[in-house]
Amino acid sequence: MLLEVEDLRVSYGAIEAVRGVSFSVDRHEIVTLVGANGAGKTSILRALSGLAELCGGSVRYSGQELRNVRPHDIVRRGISHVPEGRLAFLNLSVHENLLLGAYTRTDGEGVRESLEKVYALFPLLRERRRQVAGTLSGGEQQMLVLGRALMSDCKLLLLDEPSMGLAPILVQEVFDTIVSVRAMGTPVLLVEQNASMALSIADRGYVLETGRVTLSGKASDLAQMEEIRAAYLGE
Amino acid sequence: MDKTGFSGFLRGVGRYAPLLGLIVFYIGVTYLREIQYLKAYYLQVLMFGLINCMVTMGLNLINGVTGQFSIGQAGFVAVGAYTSAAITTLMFQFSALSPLARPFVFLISILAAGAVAGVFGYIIGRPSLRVKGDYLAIVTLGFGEIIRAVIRLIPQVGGPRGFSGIPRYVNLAWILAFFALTIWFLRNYIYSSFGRACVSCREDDLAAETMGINTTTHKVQAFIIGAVTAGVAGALLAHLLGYLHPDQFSYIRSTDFLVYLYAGGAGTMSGAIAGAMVLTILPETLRFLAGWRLVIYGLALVLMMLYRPNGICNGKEFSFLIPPLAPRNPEEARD
Repeated sequence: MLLEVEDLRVSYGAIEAVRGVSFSVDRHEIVTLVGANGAGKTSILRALSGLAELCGGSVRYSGQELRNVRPHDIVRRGISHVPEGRLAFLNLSVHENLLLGAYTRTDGEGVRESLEKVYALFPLLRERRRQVAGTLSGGEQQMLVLGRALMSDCKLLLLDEPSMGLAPILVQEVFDTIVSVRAMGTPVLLVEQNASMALSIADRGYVLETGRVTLSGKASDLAQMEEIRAAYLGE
Repeated sequence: MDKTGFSGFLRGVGRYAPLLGLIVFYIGVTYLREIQYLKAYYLQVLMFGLINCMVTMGLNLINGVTGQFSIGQAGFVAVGAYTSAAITTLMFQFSALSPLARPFVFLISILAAGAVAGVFGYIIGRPSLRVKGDYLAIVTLGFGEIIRAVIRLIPQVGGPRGFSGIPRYVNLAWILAFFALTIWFLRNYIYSSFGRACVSCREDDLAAETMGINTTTHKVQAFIIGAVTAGVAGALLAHLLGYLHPDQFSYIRSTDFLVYLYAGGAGTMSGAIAGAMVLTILPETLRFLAGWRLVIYGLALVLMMLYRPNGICNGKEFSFLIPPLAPRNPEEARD
């Protein structure tokens, strides 16, 4: 297993957002965590990338414990986190945004290759490379932050709500890209409220409710289950 | 790109054009002073302007580039000024030294001023960067006032009476040399990967952290470099004035530097230089207005903010303030 999370706990003051969650991500997998608002999905990702403090449990990545490793060091180990709300550097150009994604790398040749890969994946970004990121549409910004995360040549991509605030046609496009990212060999841990979309591209899924995993299994099975259809798929 | 022949030669010269310009400027000013066209007073104003430029460029790294809000810059100038003055005046009895030894002692005092200011930058920066925005501003404001209060308590440097008898050793050449050095260093820093990391801290802390950038380290680094710049400028100021008083370095002085930076255009070196130069010279040229001088000065600031909210330079950088190899656009971006 590439990533093994056991009994993960995250608290904000007295409020326990994540109450003992265990899951794993293997190489070449898309794993999704689905659940309603406040289920603790974002907190889990923040804990994995070091942005939130772990209160308990363990996170093992490639056999190494990630607890107490600082966020910028976690990036160096190959985990790239695309936080909720996109967070592009709005005053910098598309090109500069992408270069910052490769900040931890020192191999100039490899960075150029990654840049070409990202531009191949998102031809639109190449067209707009000189444009300031703030002038891109929401969907384009989502492409940009995805590309920026890929520039770090990560071994695991954490995506937080990539569909948030996007038009349905763009959501489809973003999810297609996630599939291509996996096809290029990068496993993805995807957090989504849009459960039906997430389960349609994922290999496995975990359903979260108020900080606990209530269901898990193959994504295609989960998508068929009565209670999930009722609770999250709006049927 | 052709690197040989006449165009290559021109490009080679172009690289040194700013330096040549500075030398021509120096010769020109010295000549005008020599033929008594330029009054000593105006030369003094020019030198103050250049020193203010240095301090403001340092502040630009902290406030403009890294996006922290520091209003204690005068405190660092004070640290540098008093440190260097203490070295030349108290440690070495500067006037008793042989003329040959003087430049070396003065140089040492400048370096020490920068180093001590840098240490203060670290001491202040490290804990206070845990707070952000308005709170950081208040912490740095408090720091500046503490420095001033402490200086008042040290009788060796004159305490509340002020520090007099400092050799007036600085001339235009010294100031221009350090002015050029500051520009060269800050320009290359801002356009390095360190500088890009600083910009990303300004744009979005959290996103920067997810890029693998240690935001705390870069903020503290920017703070230290800004303080060193102020310290060096302080050393020059002390030996230009020959007299220091704690009240020269009050929070009002810090506010002046902020005004220079934002009027010129925060985030660019051009803005820092233009703002500090224009706003140092403007109040002096308005002296004929007597009592109305500060009214007009204030009005000028208001109008500037209304019609040029991005500063005199409008957020643009003079081309000589961009290093020759910096990735200006994606086509030229190699490494």
